Parts: sequence; C-alpha cells; structure tokens
Amino acid sequence: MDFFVGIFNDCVDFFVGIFNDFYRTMIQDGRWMLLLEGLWNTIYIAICAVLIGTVIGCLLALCKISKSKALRAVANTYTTIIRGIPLATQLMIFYFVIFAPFGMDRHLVAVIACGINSGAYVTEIFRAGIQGVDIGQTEAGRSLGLSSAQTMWRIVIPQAVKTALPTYTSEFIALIKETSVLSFIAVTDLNKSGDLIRNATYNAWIPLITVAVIYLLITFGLTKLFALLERRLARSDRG
Amino acid sequence: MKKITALFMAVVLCALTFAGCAEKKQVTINSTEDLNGLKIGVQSGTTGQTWCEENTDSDVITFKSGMDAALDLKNGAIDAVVIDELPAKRIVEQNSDLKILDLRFTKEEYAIAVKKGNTELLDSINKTIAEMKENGDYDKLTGAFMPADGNIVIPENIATSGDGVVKMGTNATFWPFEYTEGSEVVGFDITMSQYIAKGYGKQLEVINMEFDALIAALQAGSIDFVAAGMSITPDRQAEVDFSDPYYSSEQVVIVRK
Repeated sequence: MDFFVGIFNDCVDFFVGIFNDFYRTMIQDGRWMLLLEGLWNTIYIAICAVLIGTVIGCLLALCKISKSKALRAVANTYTTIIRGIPLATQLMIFYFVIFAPFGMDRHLVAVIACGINSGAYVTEIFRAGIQGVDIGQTEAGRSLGLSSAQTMWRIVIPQAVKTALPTYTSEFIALIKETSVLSFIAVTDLNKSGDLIRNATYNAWIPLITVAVIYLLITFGLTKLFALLERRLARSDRG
Repeated sequence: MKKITALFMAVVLCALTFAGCAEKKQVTINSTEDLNGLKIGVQSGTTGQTWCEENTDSDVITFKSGMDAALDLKNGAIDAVVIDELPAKRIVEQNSDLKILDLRFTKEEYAIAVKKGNTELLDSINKTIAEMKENGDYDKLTGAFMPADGNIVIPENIATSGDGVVKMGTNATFWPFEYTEGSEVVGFDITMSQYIAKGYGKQLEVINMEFDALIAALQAGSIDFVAAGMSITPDRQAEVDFSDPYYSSEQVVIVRK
C-alpha cells in the first residue's frame, strides 16, 4: 500500500512541478502575451500568404495549361525557381536583397515572400486538379455547344476543385508550419515567441511544448474544417 | 491574359516606387532617454537585449546575429543597434555608413559557463585562466586577436592530444571572440578553450550554434561549457555556473551616419 501511496505522491509532485514551471515561465510577468503576439503574426501572415498564393496559383495554373508557349514558359520558370529554393533562403533574399533599398515593413515582406512561395505549389496543385478531369468532360461540353471558356468554367473547374482540395489543404497546413522560419528576418512568429520566452526564463521545454501544442491545435482544427468542406463537396458525387 | 499580366506588373512596380520613397529616419541620440520610442536591433539572448528591455521604452527587435541587425540598420528598417564593443568596431569598420555613438553603459564581464554543479570542470577552467594570466599566455592571446596593427595571427591548436573530448558551445558571429575563417570557427574564445581543454586533459570539440540556444544546450548536457563572449548576469547565474571573468566589455550603440 505504501508503495502505491509513494507513486501517487510522486505523480502529484510531478504535476505540481510542471504547473509551477508553467506558471513561472508563462503566467508570471505576462509572457503569454508574447505567445499571443506570435500566434497572431503566424496566423495573419499565413492567411494573407495563402490568399496571395491562391490568386497566383489560379492565374499560373491557367497559364500552364494554355496554348500560348510564352505563358507556359513564364509559369514553368516561376515554379521551377520558387520550388527549387528553400523558403528560408528566399525570405532572406527578399528581405535583405530585393526589398532592402525600400526599407519596407518586415511583416509585409514576410507576407509577399510566403505568398510567392506558396503560389508555386498552389499552381502545381491546381494544374494537377484541372488535368485530372477526364478529357471526355471537355469534349462533351464542347459538343453541347459551350465555348471553351464556358466548358472550363462550368464543367472542368468545379470538378477540379473537388480533386485539388485535399492537396490544397495540406499546402495551407505546410505553409503555417513553414512560417516558423520568419525569425530569420526578425519577425516575431509563434516559434520565435517561444524562443524569446526560452531566453527570458532559460526553461527550454515549457515554451517549446506549448508552442508545439498550439501549432498542432491550429493544424488539427484546419484539417477538420477542410474535411467538412470536402464532405460537403462530395455530396453531389454518385455513390 | 497578356494585358492582365502587364497590368499586374505595372501595379507592383508602382507600389515598389512608392515604398521606395520612404525616407530613412535620421536619429540623434545624446543620452539613453533618446533611445525611447526607437526601433532597436539586438542579437537574440544577449545582454544588449536585456538592457534595452529593462532600461528603455523602445521597440526591441531580435536578430539571429549582430551582423543581421546591422544590415537591417543600413537598409533603414531599424534606428539603432545595441551590441558589444568589439563586434561593433568590426561592423563599423566594414560599413562606412554606420558609426558608433559616444555613449557609455555599465561594464560587463565575459566568463565561461558550465552546467550547475559541474565543479570539477569549473575548477579546472578557473585554474587554467589564472595560470594563463600569470604566465603571459593571456597577454599573448589578446596580442593575437586584438593586435594594435589589426593583423590577427591565429595561434596553432594546442589541444590536439588528450583522452576523449570536451565539447564547447559557441556562436561564431562575434568578432574577434568567435567567427569563421574559411570553414573553421576561430577566435579568442576558441584558442582560450583549447588551453582549457589542454588543462582538463582532453581534446576540444567546437560546436557552433545559435547564441540563444547555448544555455539550454548546456543544461541538456549536449555541450560541456560555453565560451561565447557571454557576460555574467544574475539571470544567467540562476541557471548556470560562471568561471572567473576573463574579459571586460561594454555595450555600445550603432546608428547610421
């Protein structure tokens, strides 16, 4: 019996210890405010970047499947360059080289760099989605007397969206996680705010685990949200 | 499609031109109060960061290295950089459009850090430092890395034999204490660590990492000691044990000319 009481006491001590550490690193001196700031930066930069990325992706996916050689070349060059360079390197090039003479706000540069990066991946996702729609669908649309633009807009794209959505989701999630390199240009994102707390308290694991849990909650929530959307879109499928 | 692309490019160019008109703010700093309200760049985890946060009401922006902060200062995104004296001199030497202000803060003392309770290593380090100061090796070291004529001669590695390795953590962005030459990490602290390793009877392994990760690495046991121009502060003393100090320095402010 004493044995179990001993184990129980150890467990209680362990959790009290964790709570005290958590209190000391996060609540005391209001350091959780730093996390909120980091979280806000991560989320708004990721959302803005995904919006930019989606716009670029839509335009360039259309370029990639267009008949014009020039447009295809532009889109191909873009995706080759952007997908071939790590985001951290791109970010530093944008901040310290391209936008350096303008003294632009670092958050704006972060949004632009992440957006352009994401755009390349979204382009490929959309292109794959569009090309994944059976050619028979286009032929059927054309023989019904629709113009090629109408066929694209009313027949191919609605089906393409459905197939592209799961990969598009994972791109969004990947982007949220990739924003953790923003500290290279001194933007306080979620990862960086964990670093700042670690510096101030010299406690490594409470801030790191907290940050990890927050990232996990965001990505998990998004996965669920997009799964809901996927199910809604699947309703029109014939079982 | 081509028209849309052209329009898009035109809009981007216009935006960039307007952004380019943003003027770099000229700041005058005569006292520490003048730092209030400015954007100040520091290296993450340094005493410069702590000092700015505690003594000024400014927007403190933390960079991975002092050089990154200086680059940002040149580009006009921040107003000043607070950093240790010697790296600051190096930065100003290399960038003719930056200058060091004649502002004096409190003195700080660099020391070697070890994990709390590692008295065996700490005693050995203190003994080596005392010996070096006595037999002239310390003066040779300052002569080598802080020469009057500016020509640094890097001494030979003396910790090449020994039983096993002792791991030293540093952040090679801090001239002349630790920096890279070719692919080698060299500097005042590195050579001094070689003396320490020799005194401890081991070979030296240098591990180059982020400055703000050093204390955590020490506590996790992935390095044995830190030699990174680290100043003794009460906050750090609560987490690690410091050796006797080996160099005095101070923080300075760099601004655009």
